[in-house]
Amino acid sequence: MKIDGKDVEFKEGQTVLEVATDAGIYIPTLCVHKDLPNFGACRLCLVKIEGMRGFPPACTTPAKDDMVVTTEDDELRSIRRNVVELLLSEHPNACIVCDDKKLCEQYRACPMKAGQITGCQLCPNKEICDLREVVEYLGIDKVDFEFEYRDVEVERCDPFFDRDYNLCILCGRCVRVCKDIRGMGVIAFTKRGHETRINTSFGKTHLEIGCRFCGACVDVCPTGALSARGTKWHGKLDSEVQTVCGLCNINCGIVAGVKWGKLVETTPDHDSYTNGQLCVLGRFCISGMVNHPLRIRYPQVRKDDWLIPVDWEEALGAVVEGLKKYEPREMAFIISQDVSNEAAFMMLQLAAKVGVEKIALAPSSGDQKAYDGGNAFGVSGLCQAAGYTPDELMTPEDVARMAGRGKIKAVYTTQDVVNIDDAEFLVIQDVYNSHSLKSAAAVLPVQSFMESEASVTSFDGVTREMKHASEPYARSRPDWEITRDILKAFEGQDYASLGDVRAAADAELAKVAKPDAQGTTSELNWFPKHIRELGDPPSKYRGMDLTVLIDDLRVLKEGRK
Amino acid sequence: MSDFESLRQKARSKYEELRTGQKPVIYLGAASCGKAAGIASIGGKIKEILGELGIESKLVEVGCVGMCCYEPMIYIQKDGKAPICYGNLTTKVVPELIKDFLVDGDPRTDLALGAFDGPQTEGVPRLFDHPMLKPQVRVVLRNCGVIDPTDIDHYLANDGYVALQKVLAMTPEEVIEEVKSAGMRGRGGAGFSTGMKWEFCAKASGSPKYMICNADEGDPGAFMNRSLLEGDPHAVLEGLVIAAYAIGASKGYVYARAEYPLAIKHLNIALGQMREINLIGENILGSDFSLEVIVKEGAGAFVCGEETALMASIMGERGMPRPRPPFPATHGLWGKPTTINNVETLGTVATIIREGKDWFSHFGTEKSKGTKTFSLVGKVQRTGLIEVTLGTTLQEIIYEIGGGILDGKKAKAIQTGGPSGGCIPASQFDLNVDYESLTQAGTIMGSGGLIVMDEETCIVDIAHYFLTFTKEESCGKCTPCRIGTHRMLDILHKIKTGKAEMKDLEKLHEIAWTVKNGSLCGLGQTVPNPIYTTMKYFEDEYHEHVEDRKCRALVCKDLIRYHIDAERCIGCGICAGKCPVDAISGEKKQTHVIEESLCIKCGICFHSCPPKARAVEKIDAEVGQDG
Repeated sequence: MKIDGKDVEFKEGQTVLEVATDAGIYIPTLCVHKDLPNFGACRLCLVKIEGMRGFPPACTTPAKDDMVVTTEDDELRSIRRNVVELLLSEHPNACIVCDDKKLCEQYRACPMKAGQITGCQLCPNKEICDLREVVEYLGIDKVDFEFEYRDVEVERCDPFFDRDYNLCILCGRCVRVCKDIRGMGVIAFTKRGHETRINTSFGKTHLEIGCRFCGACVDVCPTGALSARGTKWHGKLDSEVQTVCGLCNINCGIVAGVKWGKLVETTPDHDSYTNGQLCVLGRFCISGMVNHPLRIRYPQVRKDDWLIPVDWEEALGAVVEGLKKYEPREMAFIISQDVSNEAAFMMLQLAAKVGVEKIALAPSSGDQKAYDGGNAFGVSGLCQAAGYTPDELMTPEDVARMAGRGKIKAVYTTQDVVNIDDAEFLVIQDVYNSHSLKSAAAVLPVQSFMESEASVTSFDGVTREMKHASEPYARSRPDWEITRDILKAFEGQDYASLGDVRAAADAELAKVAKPDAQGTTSELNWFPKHIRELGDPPSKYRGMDLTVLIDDLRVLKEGRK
Repeated sequence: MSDFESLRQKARSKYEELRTGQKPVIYLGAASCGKAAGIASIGGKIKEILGELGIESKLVEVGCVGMCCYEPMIYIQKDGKAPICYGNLTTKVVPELIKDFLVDGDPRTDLALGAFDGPQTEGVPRLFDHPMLKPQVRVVLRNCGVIDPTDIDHYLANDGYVALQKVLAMTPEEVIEEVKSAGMRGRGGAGFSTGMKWEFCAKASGSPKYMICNADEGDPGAFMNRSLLEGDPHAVLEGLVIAAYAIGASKGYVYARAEYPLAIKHLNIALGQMREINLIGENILGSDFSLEVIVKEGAGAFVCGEETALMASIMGERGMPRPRPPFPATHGLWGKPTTINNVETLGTVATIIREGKDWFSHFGTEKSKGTKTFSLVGKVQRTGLIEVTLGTTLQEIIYEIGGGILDGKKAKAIQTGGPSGGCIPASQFDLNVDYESLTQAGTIMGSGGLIVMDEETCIVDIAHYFLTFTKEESCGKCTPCRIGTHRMLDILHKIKTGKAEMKDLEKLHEIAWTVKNGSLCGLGQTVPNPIYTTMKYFEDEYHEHVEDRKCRALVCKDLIRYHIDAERCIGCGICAGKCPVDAISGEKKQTHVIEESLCIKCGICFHSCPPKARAVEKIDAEVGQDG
């Protein structure tokens, strides 16, 4: 077929728009999104096709042999211009068409939590606005209509994201992603004519209607109408890092947004195997978790019944000295299923060196779902490789019980464990301040999965890398490094770098059979299907209840009940 | 088939007995229009009188014969003679009429509109010679108002389902060919060849196939489909079964608006009767053909008349159109090949088969064959549901059938095709009503609404009215239709209130162009038609509004004022008493005066001034200021 005089090839089933995009020909559009079924609503991609009446939309017209398409001429420009002007007559446009736009861009005003968004400078979506892109492409510098602010109330009644339908252009992306990709159909077009709005049935809150707050709608919104509440005011990001989520063993691809060295938001990674989809935890909770004041700031050692902040050397010295006082049979290690392959590997190495045979996995696998534990398959796989059959592994409850009977005296744990207070010597290597700290002899602050490089093995048997995205919190260090230093003190093998540890851990994992993937990743729709089956996503990280950390998550859980 | 023939024989004799029996029969025009006009109280009164007089008489409810301006109507049949039609009845006149006719044998020729075909009564003219009916050709409406729509025997006695019997002996290809060569075009508005539409679907691969009857009539002032479904549902259903046979469908839907409860009731009764005698269901009339039909009620969105929106609605989704291709013929209901035909199209199909393509195609013009029903409303003497051959002029429709303009005023324009159509000025009333001529004049045939306007109609106001309707009925999906209609309405409002400038007219034209060319579905693409045609034919009136701030029809409130003619005012004080803002003052028997700063121009004084005085007048606001 021919587009703008250029001969182009196409595959059966492609639309004119897809063919044009592949051939490097830009056709503006607002309602098209690559993950979504086409809709034909915005009327910007109209083209001319010889032999077809009027102006068919490129996004829904299938490409055919010998088609002759014109994507740009005076009439088409005029339609597009008028359509965008019509949109702008109802979408705050002061900044979009302002003469001083360039100057103002450099000025980069501090975004304020304004009640009303009257221009781009106050819009949370400013940096990634599809509408602005189209306006710039069409060179629109004035709008012939008087601006009409819809003046509908901004909806802030639900957790996690705000909805300002004064900015909505009704492209229907949110409706389609909710229904066609996530299989939920929480929102739909309501009312008719000029009063058409996106809404839930009967205008109920998202919470009431059963929304899972996956945030997919927020991610596809081309304007600032839908915005993540916790992260909308940080402005332009300093950097973005592609990594994976460590909250469950699906390990979705996420993009970590970093500003001032801090993690400020997490968005889905479209290049990942999870196709740009996340759940409420991955989308909205990680930055709040990582920056939470309940994080452990310093290494601490108990002196005279008080936990005193000390430097790392002293803390590790106290741990090694303490552990050396006990027989190996009096010791137990508790490995969190949320830690990386490297961390788990090092724990097992240390156990082997010291001669500890009591290894527990936390949480115990009995009361969890398949995807619980950010690295459940990796950690259990490494245990298996180290020679522990599932029956030989203990549970944290076993450890607590045995400590109560005095059979176990020293415990080295990488997550919060209930009722562990009876252990004489308790070493806690954790991310958050938890109640077991009150009986801990030493506390070792750990970096979260957003701060240190590591690898995890997902439920499908594929090992995925976690990247260093934000600066470590206070004095925290990576799990593997801490254990490595302890192992060194026990005169075990010295691993110089993370790479060495990873290579060794990978070799261990290669010994065990790959876990049986419960969904084939090649099927595009496996992800939403599983998320639906999961019901409420797992909400603990290293034993810490996330609803304690994230208020909105608590609201969501309580709302569900 | 012999079973069916004996059924028909039974039906015939039953119908014959009703029509020629010695017992008097009173037919009540009980379609929605008759009900609205009060046929229920008339019927109650009749029963009461019959009881009092001790007369044994049958009461039969029939549909609408189309003479809406004469509702409520009844027809009385006595001594086996043709029923005589009486219109504009009141509960006062009815007892008199019944007594005079049924007891004293006086057919009250003074009240009679005419008698149906059959043995005539002396002194009563034939109903079909009535000036409103004489120019009409009744093909689709042949049974409307004549038979009892809830009794399948009435339909069977009038050649009902003869066409279906004929069709079942033909191949689907032969049926399609017959309809195609008859020149039948879709009566829903676009005028696409019905035979070709069926052919596309018949040839499409996929099963099951679906046949849909579009009964989502939504144009303001249009009621052709409703009357047909209420008055003769079997005619439409017979067409539906024939069409389903032709395309190979196994399931049929009638998508009717929930606002048509009587039509839905009659459809469901008819379907029940059909099921009983195997006109739908498994192996229809012993053939290999099976079809199930259900009535699906729509919630009253105008856009659901658009075929893709209609299908979405049937599938339980929001009624929003989607772009075509793919067309319903290949990807319709649940992705399967589907044909959607208008009520009137299907109502015509059986006649084409029964009477033959040649009989059908001798009606109409070269490219527009057959007859078409219209709802004639507005400022004409006789409003109602009419059927004429295609190619009839507007002149004939308005002046002969409609009897001319009300109150001897001058005609100004006629709107065809409802809100998607356009206004044709009085100077072009010699225009033939057929698909091509109307398109050329900038409007459309549409489903058949005809709204006549007189000189007291403001053309800007009319454009504003139709646009208000389409703005509210836009589904909201595509940008040009959703926002464009709103912005156009803004400009029309500016024009109506005397705040517009000439450049606004240009802008109006430009948005209209964008909406027409940029919109997704037929609704949006035709929204600007009323604006285009009114701007084209009544450009001077737009200019007057903008440049002179004048509304010549004295309709646009902001451009007029109310004034009391001192010489004619009789000082009755009615206007002052009714004025909601106390803007009128004056002593009893003295001339009254309107205080303009208080007046809100509601017009109550104008309408309440006694006819003998007519002292309150509407005048041009600016002339008033100057004077």
